[in-house]
Amino acid sequence: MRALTLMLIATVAAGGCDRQADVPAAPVATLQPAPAALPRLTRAQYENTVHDVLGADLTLPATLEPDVSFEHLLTVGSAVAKVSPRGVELYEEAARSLAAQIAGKPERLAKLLPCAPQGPADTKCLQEFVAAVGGKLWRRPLAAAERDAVVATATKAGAALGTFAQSAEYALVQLLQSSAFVYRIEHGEKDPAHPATRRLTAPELASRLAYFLWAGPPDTELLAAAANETLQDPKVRAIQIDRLLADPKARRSLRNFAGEWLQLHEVVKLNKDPKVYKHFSGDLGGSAREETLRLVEHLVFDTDSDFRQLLTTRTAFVDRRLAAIYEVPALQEIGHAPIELPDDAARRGLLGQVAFLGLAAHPVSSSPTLRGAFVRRFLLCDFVPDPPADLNTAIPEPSPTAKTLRQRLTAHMNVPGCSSCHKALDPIGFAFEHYDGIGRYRKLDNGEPIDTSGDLDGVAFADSSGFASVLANSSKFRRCVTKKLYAYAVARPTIVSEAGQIDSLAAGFAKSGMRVKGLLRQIALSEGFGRLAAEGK
Amino acid sequence: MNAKSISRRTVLRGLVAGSAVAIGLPTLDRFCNGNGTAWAETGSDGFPKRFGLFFWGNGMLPARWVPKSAGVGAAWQLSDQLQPLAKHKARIAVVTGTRLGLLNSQPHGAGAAGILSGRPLLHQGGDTTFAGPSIDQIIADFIGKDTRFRSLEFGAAAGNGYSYNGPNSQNPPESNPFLLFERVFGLGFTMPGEKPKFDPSLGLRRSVLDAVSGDIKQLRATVGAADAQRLDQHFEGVRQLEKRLAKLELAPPKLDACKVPKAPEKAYPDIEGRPQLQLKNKVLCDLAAYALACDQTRVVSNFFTMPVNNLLFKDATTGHHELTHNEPGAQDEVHAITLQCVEAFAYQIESLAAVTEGATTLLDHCALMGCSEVSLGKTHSLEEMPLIIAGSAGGKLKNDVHYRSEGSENTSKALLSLCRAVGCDMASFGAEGGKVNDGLAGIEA
Repeated sequence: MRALTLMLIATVAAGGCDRQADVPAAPVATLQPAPAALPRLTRAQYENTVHDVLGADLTLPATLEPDVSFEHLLTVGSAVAKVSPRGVELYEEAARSLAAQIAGKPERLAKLLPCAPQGPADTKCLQEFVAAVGGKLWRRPLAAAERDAVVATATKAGAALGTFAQSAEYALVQLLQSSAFVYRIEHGEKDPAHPATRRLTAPELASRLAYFLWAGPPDTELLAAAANETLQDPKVRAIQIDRLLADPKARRSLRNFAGEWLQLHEVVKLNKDPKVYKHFSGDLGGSAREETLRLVEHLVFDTDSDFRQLLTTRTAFVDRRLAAIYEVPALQEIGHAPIELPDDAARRGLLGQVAFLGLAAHPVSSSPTLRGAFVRRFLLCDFVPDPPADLNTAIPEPSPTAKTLRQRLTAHMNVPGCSSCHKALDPIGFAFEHYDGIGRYRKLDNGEPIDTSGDLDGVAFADSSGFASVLANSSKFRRCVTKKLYAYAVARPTIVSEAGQIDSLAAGFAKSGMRVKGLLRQIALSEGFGRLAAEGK
Repeated sequence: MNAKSISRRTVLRGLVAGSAVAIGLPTLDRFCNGNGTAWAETGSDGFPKRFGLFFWGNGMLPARWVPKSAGVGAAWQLSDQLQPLAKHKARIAVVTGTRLGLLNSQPHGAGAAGILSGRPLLHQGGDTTFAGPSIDQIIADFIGKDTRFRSLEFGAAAGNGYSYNGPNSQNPPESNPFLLFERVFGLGFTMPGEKPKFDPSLGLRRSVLDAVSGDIKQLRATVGAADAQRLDQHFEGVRQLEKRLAKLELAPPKLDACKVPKAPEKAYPDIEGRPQLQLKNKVLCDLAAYALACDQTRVVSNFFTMPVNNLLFKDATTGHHELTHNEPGAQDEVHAITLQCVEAFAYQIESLAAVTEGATTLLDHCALMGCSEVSLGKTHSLEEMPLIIAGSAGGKLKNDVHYRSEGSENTSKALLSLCRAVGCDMASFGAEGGKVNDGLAGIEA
């Protein structure tokens, strides 16, 4: 039996904020690998697989069943996501549309055909086509019976419709709806090094590596290393990992990860009251999302920098919209360009971006509580419960004694039932009170000077740039990044017995000077990445 | 896909079915297939029962929502917030005073799971999902198997909607009217009663689905219990689609009420930051009404707006959710927005009432449930839940009634009545605190 269900932890709002969910009771010395999971391709993985295997110019389906978020990551949610009846329809529509786009354009089909068809019913060529394209779409070789089942449908289509292209079309329609395409199937095999547990088979390992490092399917070379089993050799595995990391597709996966981790799908939907924030426009969210992605990509792949710079850097990638909000010159008419933020301002890194300051805020105001919750949830991996539903969560109106938002929230903090969470969240958010609900600097709040000082779990800071440094240097941030990337890599919720694995990866991350590229490599090489529990079929 | 080569056998089959419908069928047989078996349970006048859901986010204002007196006909009058329904008073049942018997474990989320599935919200890995199917899918299991679409989900600002098949499985709604039109009335649509155009792809698609379900079955045998359950649902979805495609090959009989609506605009852009909610809703409701009239589906869900939405409604100074929490006093702006939500619901009723079916209308063959996930948005209250039912489901539900639950009965009771009224043979509805075994006699006819 697989263990996922055991981990569906019911968390109830009444639990309060006193709990620190992510700190393991005691490090686990030996890894007890997790049971196999059965992730459903996320939308991004589906799209990348289609583009990589079938052609980058294909028009992708407008709708697929939504991804599921688990531990705040869609790739982790893919291990629990089901396929609904509507999802089945959407997979069918998508498969038919993609297949028709290929069959309807001879040059597209020709690129996929390993042979020149001799007439409409060339079974041999059809077999070769199904074996070649199927092997890429399914990320493993097809057994003869599997291949023949697809060929049988295709032959029927050819007979009914009259052309080889239409045979090929129905072969694709079937390949794209098969469970071997839709799910990442990992059964595992006996592990010679650990007879009590199992390991991924070579094709399963290839697939896991590719979806982790490319957010897409393995290419021909990786599939070949899987087919001849050399990928099980740690040296070959390392060579392949380095090759994957050097490929531009590694940026694609990093962007995909950053999007999931930092909730950039929500940033795209950013919604501000245009009467309060005249810098708001409907496309600001997309612009802010790209800024964050560009920074992450820059730090990891352009410069291979210390990842603490995510929080502390003065480099920003701004377009005209963002430049207006940050009050810096826009260097070009269209698109994002790097600039250095002024030294005398506190705006730094991710936490100085609209993607954070605007998302973790209200449509008409800033929100120290939401900003604190964002930092705790996504950057420290703390457990933050939802606010109690039955309480009136309205903040007290300004009064002569409490004019600023900080003063008003401080009054709120003393209300029993509100205090435990607000005390954990608001002091973090106060650091950003110089930034309004859209992320623009303000000197005063309601005519009063703003106090941005505070402490993060006992370490003091004076303002948002000070906070960014404290956070960047905290071991919890380092472990949180590690844990998020590890969960993204294994595409399922992490289990308790993996805490030691994550700790040791986090220690390696620290030792490397917090180089994410190195961390990606270490995760891909780690035992937890390639091993499976003995149980399960 | 072209149809150059057509197998003789299939053509014959199509023609036989096609000519069968040329003979005028008595009303009672309209919803029977060529073999004389019923397409689904039908009401006493031969028309099938349909279910509709109209959902809006962020609740209402109980003080302005609840009608002053309870009873039937002249005994009750519409409240302030129900005024947009004035034209339809004789066709609705307003249920007040009920409560969700569930832990309010997340603002908005718990209420949505409660009123739509009768179950507590499932918290998992810091995120949430429904613990069981939503009412539209519960009903689709009974009445959605014989139509081209098991169910249709849409909504002017529907986001991901709330149509759940169970945990971690959502039917995504369509928010673009043009795409909904294409889906229902575009390629693949055959006017009931017209000789179906022979489509060789139907049989091929079924062959593919057959192979796919075989695949899933094989995979199922190799995985653990939790994943097997996921695959069961996938398998069932594939089988259902296969069966529905088979139905398309039979010629469905003529339906007088069916017509193809005008194709909508390709886009309905926001105007100065305000979405064109009412216009989009109208177009979507009209499409849904004709999808029902043409028997393309029997279950429609309209997610007009979603919880926590901060949409800028007409005349509002800021977003809806923001106002529910921060507008002081009697909340006149929230009131004005609630009226706009009820107005959109009124239009959906109108769109169903406008379609004549036999001696009555499509609305009379429907149960259309209107609800939100909380009552007072400011406190996320799960007491005094807003619930309106339009249509009588073929005479099974009372109309022109305000049912006031004095003992704060469980809201699920009304949902069980609804399910039973449209033909679902169910012993209970919901789970844990939301579970009930009895309907609400006060709204059952």
